[in-house]
Amino acid sequence: MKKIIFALSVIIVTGSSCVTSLQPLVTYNTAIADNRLEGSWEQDGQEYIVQKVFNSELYTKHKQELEKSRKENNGQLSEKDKKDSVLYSKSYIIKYSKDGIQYQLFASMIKLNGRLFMNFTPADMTSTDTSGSENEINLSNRLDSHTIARVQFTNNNVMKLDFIDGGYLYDQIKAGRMKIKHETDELYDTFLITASTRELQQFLEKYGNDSRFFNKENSVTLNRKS
Amino acid sequence: MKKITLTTAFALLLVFLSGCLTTLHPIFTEKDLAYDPKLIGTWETENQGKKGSAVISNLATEGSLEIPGNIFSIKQKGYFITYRDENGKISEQYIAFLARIGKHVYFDYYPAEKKEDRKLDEFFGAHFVKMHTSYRVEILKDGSFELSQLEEGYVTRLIEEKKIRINHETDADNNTIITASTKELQQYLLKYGDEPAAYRSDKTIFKK
Repeated sequence: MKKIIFALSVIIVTGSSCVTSLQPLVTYNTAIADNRLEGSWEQDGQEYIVQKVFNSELYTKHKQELEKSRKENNGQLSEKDKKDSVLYSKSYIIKYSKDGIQYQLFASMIKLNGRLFMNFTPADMTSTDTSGSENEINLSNRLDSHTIARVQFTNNNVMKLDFIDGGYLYDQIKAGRMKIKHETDELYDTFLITASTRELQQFLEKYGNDSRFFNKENSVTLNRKS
Repeated sequence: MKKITLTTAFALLLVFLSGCLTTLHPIFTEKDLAYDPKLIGTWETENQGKKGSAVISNLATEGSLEIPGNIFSIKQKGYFITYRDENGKISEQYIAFLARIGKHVYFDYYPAEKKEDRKLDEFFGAHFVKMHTSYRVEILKDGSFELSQLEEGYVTRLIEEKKIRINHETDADNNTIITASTKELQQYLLKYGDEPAAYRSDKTIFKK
């Protein structure tokens, strides 16, 4: 199986892989809120805190910039800001810490053919130095992308995330058995899905229940802590 | 300057692409490589009065570096470049290849894994797609050389004015992402390689 550079990630658990997309799966007019997401979750000793965007520290941190943006637009929200506001009102921030670095992901959900899917994209990354001050970590010459997982609630306290198997998808595309807009570069082993949001949705409407895409190696089960 | 929304504020925290053309694909193929051993060494760098240094080594000598994909087979013809700021702190590291495209020689830079990167959570890190940046290289008579980076605005203006057909995508924040193939990128360089506006006005000077 081809090694996929962006799909080598260990998805919270060891040994799983995912695929990345340039476009988000979820937009302001398709996002749905689900109160079951909020709270503190745990997986293999790692804690993940899920908050609504508007309740998050990150939103508070950037509120001034949003206000400034609004003032520059005669006190009005631009069309994009309006859409973003709707999306934020239904989206979540997932916060966790590992090895002295604090990570925040922006997560939005959508329902397709009765199944829930979540879109993840990076929101913030900071490290704390010995004096306790926070420093933002900026990575130059990188493009932020999206990952996608199917979400299943066993009950209100157990959430299973099934990520798309990037290796399987790549093999299918390469063999000509599946079509979805993408870019690959053999020299640098790059694989990026460039399909539009609607195409991604159609793809998951078709394959959202296909166990070959969502196998157990790419699944994570989170248990509620509080 | 683009208005800051929460989304763009998020993006700005993570991606620093302003002004510099970044591409998903490299500008070279193996046959274009123009490895020059004279570039190996320690250099003093200067860009708009900002001084620093750069160490350029042969990529094959960097045993601990994570080398992507099929680059491994051409690593003898590649470079590993470490930039340090004026305080001696490592600022950026790249895997680089020198390639001749038409009458000019270009550097293709690709972010190398820094110590800091390796510490990153793999799931979080997987969301960042590494992009290529390219520079025209002019080697001067005294052995020093200058890098002129390709300008993003020039390409995006050509796209907006429908003066060029080059593969690209527009992301959710209306950023233009150049997804052109290596062949297309080379055609761009052959056509606009002599156009001063295709490059950023600030040059980085490398002196021994």
